[in-house]
Amino acid sequence: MNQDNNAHCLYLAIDDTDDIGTKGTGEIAEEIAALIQEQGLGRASMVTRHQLFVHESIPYTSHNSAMCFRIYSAEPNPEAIRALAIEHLLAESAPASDPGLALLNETDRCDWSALVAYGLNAKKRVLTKAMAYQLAEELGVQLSEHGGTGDGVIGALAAIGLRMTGSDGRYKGRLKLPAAEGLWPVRDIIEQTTASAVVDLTGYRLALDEQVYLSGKIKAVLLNHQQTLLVAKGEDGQWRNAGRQELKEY
Amino acid sequence: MSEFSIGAGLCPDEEDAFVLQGERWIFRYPATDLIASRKAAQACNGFVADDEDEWLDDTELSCVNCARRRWLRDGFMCLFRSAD
Repeated sequence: MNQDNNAHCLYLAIDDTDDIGTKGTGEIAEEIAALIQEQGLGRASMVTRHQLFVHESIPYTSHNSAMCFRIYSAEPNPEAIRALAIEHLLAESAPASDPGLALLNETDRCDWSALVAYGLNAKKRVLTKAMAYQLAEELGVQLSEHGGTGDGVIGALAAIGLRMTGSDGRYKGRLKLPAAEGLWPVRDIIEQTTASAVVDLTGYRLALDEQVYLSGKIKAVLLNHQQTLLVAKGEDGQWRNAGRQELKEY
Repeated sequence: MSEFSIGAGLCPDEEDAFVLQGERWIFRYPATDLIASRKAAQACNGFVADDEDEWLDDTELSCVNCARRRWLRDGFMCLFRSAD
C-alpha cells in the first residue's frame, strides 16, 4: 500500500553484511535509505528487522535476521537505486560477510503471495540460494550477491516477503518521545510519535483515552501494516511499553 | 507478566555458566535468566556488544547482548569460547 498519492513503492532488503564487531546490517540499511533520499531517488521508510529461521545448518553469525525498507517515488529509478545500494554494500559490508540484495518494484505485478509464502517459510525452514534465485526470476525481483558465498540473497528476498505481510518484524531504532518518560495518553503517543497504533501482546488495540507508562528503550513493531507500540500490563494493572524480552518474538 | 525475569540464584558464583557439548559451549541457563547472563559476561574477557537492536537486556554487559553469542533453537552458544 502506498503512503504517497501517485507514488510507486519499491522494497529494498539486505542480509548477511556484517560480522562480529563490525557495522550491523541494520545500520547499513539505514545508510542506504538515507543516501536514496539525499540523491532524490525517493522517500525511504523506516527499516524493519525480520527474524529468520535459527538452525545449525544455516551459517548466520549470531541471530539470522534481515533488513528491509520501502521507497516511495512518483518516478522510480530502480537501476539507480540498485547501483547506489550495491556501491554502498561493497564499501561497508564486512570482509567475511556474504551480502545479498533484493529490490522489488511493487507495481510490476499484483500478486505477491508466492513471495510472502517464501518469507514465512524462511522463518521455519532451511531455504537455499537456488530457491531464492528461482523465485526472484519468476517474480521479476532483482536479486544479487556481493561477496563471500552470497548466501545473503536468501534472507534478503525473505525480508521483502515478510515486510509485505504487514505483521512481521521490529522497527530499527527507538520511538522518539518529545518529552520525558512518564504516563502518556494513547492519543498523544499516536499524534507525537511515528507510531500509528498501541496494541497489547494479545492483540487488543488500546483506545485513544487509555494511558501507557513509557520508559526505557521504546521500540515499535510492524503489525497490521502499521508501526505499532506494543504494551503489556504491569502487576499494578498499568499499561507499560513492552520490554526487550517481550519484543524478541517479533 | 513477561516470561523473562531476573533469575533467583540460578547462577551460583562458583559454577561455569556454560557447559561444553561436543565442541560448543552452551549457556546452561534459560536465556531469560538475566542475572546469570550478566554474571557470565562480567567474568568474560571476550565480550563484544552487539547492535543495540539485538539486545535482550537493558544492562549492556550481559551475554544475551554479546555479538559472540549464537542463538540456537533453545538458548545460545558462546562463539568466543567455542573457538578455543
